[in-house]
Amino acid sequence: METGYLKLFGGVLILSAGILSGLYLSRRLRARTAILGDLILSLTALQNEISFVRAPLGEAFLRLSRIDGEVGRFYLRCHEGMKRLPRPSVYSIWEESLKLMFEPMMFSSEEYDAMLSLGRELGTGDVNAQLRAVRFTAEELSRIRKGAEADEKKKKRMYMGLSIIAAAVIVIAAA
Amino acid sequence: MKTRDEKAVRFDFAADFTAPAIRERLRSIPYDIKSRTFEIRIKRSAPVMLTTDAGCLPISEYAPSAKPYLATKEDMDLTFEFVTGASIHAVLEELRCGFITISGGHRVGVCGKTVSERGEILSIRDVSSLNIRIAHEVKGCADGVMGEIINEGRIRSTLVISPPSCGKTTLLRDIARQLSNGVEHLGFRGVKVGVIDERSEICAMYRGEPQNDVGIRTDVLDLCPKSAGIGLMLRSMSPDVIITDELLYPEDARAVMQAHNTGVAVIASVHGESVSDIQRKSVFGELFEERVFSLAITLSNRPRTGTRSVVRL
Repeated sequence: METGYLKLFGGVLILSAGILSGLYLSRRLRARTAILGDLILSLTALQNEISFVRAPLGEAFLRLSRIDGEVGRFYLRCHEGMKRLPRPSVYSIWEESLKLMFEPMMFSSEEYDAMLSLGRELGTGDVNAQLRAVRFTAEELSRIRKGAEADEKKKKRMYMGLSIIAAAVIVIAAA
Repeated sequence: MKTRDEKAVRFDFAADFTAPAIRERLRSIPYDIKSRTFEIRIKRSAPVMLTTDAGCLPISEYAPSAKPYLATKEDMDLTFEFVTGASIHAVLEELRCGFITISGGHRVGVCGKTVSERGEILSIRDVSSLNIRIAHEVKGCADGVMGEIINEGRIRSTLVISPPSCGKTTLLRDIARQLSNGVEHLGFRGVKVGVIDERSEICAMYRGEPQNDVGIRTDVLDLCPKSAGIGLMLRSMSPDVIITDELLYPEDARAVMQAHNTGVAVIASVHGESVSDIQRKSVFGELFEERVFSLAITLSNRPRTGTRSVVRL
């Protein structure tokens, strides 16, 4: 009797773990598209800061840090990095902040590389070159986002289904 | 061990804007040299130099421990990035004038390859030379002339005549500060001062804030041509006195006449050796005919910078 309850309890646990891992994987997919969307929006704002407001990058980063979530935190880290002494280069601050944003997410390196390339241009080129780089990165991120959305639709159910099936198989095999 | 005086601190602050390899060497310069330095000159593939009262010499001449250091392209690019705050787009107006004012009021002259479109400079790249001019305020340097400028509570329009590098901007800055804050021992309460700072030298504005003390009642038009700025200041801020640097063109003289005609005193500087030298220049003919200026202060660097004489006109 006791063994039966234990087995049932273990089975429920494994099934719950399967469902949770499915939920976690599909949430990661959703988070990726959301972050890509926020990054694209932030680049539009960055374009305005450079071309119309003519704000120094440090100030522009501070305003962009008002964006919610990870993207806002990314810009806040960039803003704070620019106040550091002795002064680091903008590229090193950008790279460091990008790593802090992307590494815990374990996202594809596509968006990381696109954003990193932008960091090489910021602060060094003339206005037009910087604006071109920002526009190019925004376009690149839009393309990646379309792929990520398709990925999300395709894989969300698959992750959930596979996780439940895998958990069920373990339960059956153990029984 | 020498104490870190204010000038040495300013030097260190300016040195913080240079690339790490240069910064490290500048930091090792003895304090007494730092406090005598006017300029840090960085030129690609050339030794980093300091301009002091002893001349313009490589840093190794001042600090035997510092080996001669030739600035690299990376040093130039990084220093340029730091002085522009990585935002060429934000300092473009200044860059078009050939210099950038950085935090602390230091001015950085820039030479390199200009990128222009339809005659307008868009950027500078391949930076070849940078000249960091250390800001220096000499509070109280106008003490000896305030009694002449302030005459029974009224301000005499004054022309400061000086060859380059004799301290005319430093003098104008202290005059602005004292007229604005008031001069207690003369029983003079401060008045509204309008500074037209065409080259951002008097006040060294950085993001809307003067980096030099120009007084509590001083309004500043930064990087504004004198000819337009004087009229604008008269209309917008109703100053009691206008202070401006380096009158040069006929339109500058006309703008000064405009201020004079509205009863506002003008204190301005002009390049020259003496009053007669300036009177010979046709550009200023009308100003002398109309007796706009009632006082002239001539400066020279003999026997030392800031040596002056006062002439009533």
